[in-house]
Amino acid sequence: MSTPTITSEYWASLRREAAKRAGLTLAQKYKGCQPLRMSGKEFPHIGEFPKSIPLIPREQWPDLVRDGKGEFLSDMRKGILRPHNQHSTSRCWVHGSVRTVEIIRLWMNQPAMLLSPDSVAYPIEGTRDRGGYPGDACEQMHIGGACPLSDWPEGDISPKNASPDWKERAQANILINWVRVKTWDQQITLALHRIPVAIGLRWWGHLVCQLDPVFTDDGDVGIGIDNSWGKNWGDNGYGILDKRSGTADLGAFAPIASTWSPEVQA
Amino acid sequence: MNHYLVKAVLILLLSIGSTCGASAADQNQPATLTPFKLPMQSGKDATAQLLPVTSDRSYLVYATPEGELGIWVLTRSVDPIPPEPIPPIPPLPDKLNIAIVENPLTTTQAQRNVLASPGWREQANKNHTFVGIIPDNVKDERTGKPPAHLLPFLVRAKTKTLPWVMFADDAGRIVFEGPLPATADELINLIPKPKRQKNVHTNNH
Repeated sequence: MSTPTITSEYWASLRREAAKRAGLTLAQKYKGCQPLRMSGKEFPHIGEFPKSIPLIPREQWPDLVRDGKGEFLSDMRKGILRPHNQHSTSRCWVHGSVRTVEIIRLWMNQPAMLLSPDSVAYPIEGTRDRGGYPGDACEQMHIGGACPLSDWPEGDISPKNASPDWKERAQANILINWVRVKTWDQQITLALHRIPVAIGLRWWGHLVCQLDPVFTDDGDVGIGIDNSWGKNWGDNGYGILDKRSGTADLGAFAPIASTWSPEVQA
Repeated sequence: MNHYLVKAVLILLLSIGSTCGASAADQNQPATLTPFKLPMQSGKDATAQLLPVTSDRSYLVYATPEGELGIWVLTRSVDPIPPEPIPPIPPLPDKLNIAIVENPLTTTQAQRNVLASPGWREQANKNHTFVGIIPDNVKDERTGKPPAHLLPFLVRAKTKTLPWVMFADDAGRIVFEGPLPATADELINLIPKPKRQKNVHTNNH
C-alpha cells in the first residue's frame, strides 16, 4: 500500500474535521501542534550549508530519485527504530531532531538506539511543556547530547529522570556537526545525499524528521518523513510531504556526524 | 717481467685498492707479485700473476709476448646456498573488520547512494565485523579525541581519497584497502564471502 501524500490542504481539512467531531478546540485536540517558537538566538555550533555539497539542479531530481533505487534511510530504520511518540506534550521540536541523530547513528552502523527527546528538552525548558525552536534542540544535542530512551522515557517531562549521571550518559550521543538548511533545494539535495533533516513547518506548527526523496502522487519530487505521533499516524509513523507542505519555513537543521558511542567498543 | 704485465698489474692493484680497500678482511690479503708461466692454447706461454682480492676471490692476470692482456676472475667454489625459507602467508581470516572512512561533507551524492545501499551492509554485518562508516572527524566526547579502536583506520585513510574502504584482520593488519567502488554491486563483490563448509554426509539410515 502506498503512503498517501500529506498536503497542507489535506491536513488542514483533517484537523477541522477531527476537531469538529471531538467537539474540542484545535489547541486542545492537537496540543502537539502548538506553533514552534522562532528564536533570535545565535547557534555557534551550527554551521551554514556547506559549499562542498553542491546544490543538485531540479531537473536532475526525478532521474536521481529513480536511479537511487530505494528509500534508504526509511528502509534502514524499518523494524529497528519504532516511531517516536511525543504523547500529549508539545515537544515535536526535540522528537524530530533526535530522530535525525538516531538515523545518522544507523548510517554510521552504530548500534540502533532510541534516544530520549525529553533529555534534550530538559536543560532548555526544564519541566515546562511548550513548543520550542529546532535550533535550540540541535545546539543542545551538540553540547550535551541525548541519553538513551531507556533512561528517560518519552513524554515524561518530570525531573525525576534527571539522575546524577544522566548528563554523562547523554554525552555519549553528541552530534559533532549540524548545518543550517534554508531552502527546498537544499532539503532535496540533502535528501539525495541521504542526510536526514529536522524540518520545522509553519503551516503545521510542527517539526518532523525528513528522510528520503520520494515521488509524490502527482509525480513531483517530495520527501518522506518520520513523525513523532506514534505508530498509528501515517504508515507506521511515516508520511510523504510535497514541496508546498514540506518546505521548512520554521528552521531546518541537518546532522552530519555523530560521536562514536562507547557502547560500540564493548 | 713482461712490461705489459707490469702495467696491467699496477692498474689492477690500484683498482683493487680503491674498490676493495674498504673491507678490513680484504686489506689483510697482500697481493702476490710472483709471476709464473701460463701455457696458452696457441702453444706459447704467457706470463701470469695471481692477485688475491678476497679470501675466496682472486684475479689471474696474464700477458702474452704479443701484447695480449687478459684477466680472469677466479672464485673459490662454495656449496650452493639454500634459499631462505619464505614465511608462510597467513590465511585470510574468515571474519574481517570492515571500515569505511568518509568526509560527510565531501562524499558525493552517488557515493552516498552506494554507502546507503542495504545489500553490502547486510553482508558486512552478517559475515564480518562491520566497524562502520566513520566520519573523518569522529571523536569520543569524553576524551575529545578519535576513539582508540577507530584510530588505525582514521590514520590509514588520512592521506587517501575518501571514502576509503579498508578490511583488517583482528591483529590490525590491513588485508585490503582502496577507494569506494562506483556501484553497490562492486562493493558487494569486494567483501569476501564466507567459506562454504563441507557437507558432512552421514549414513544413519
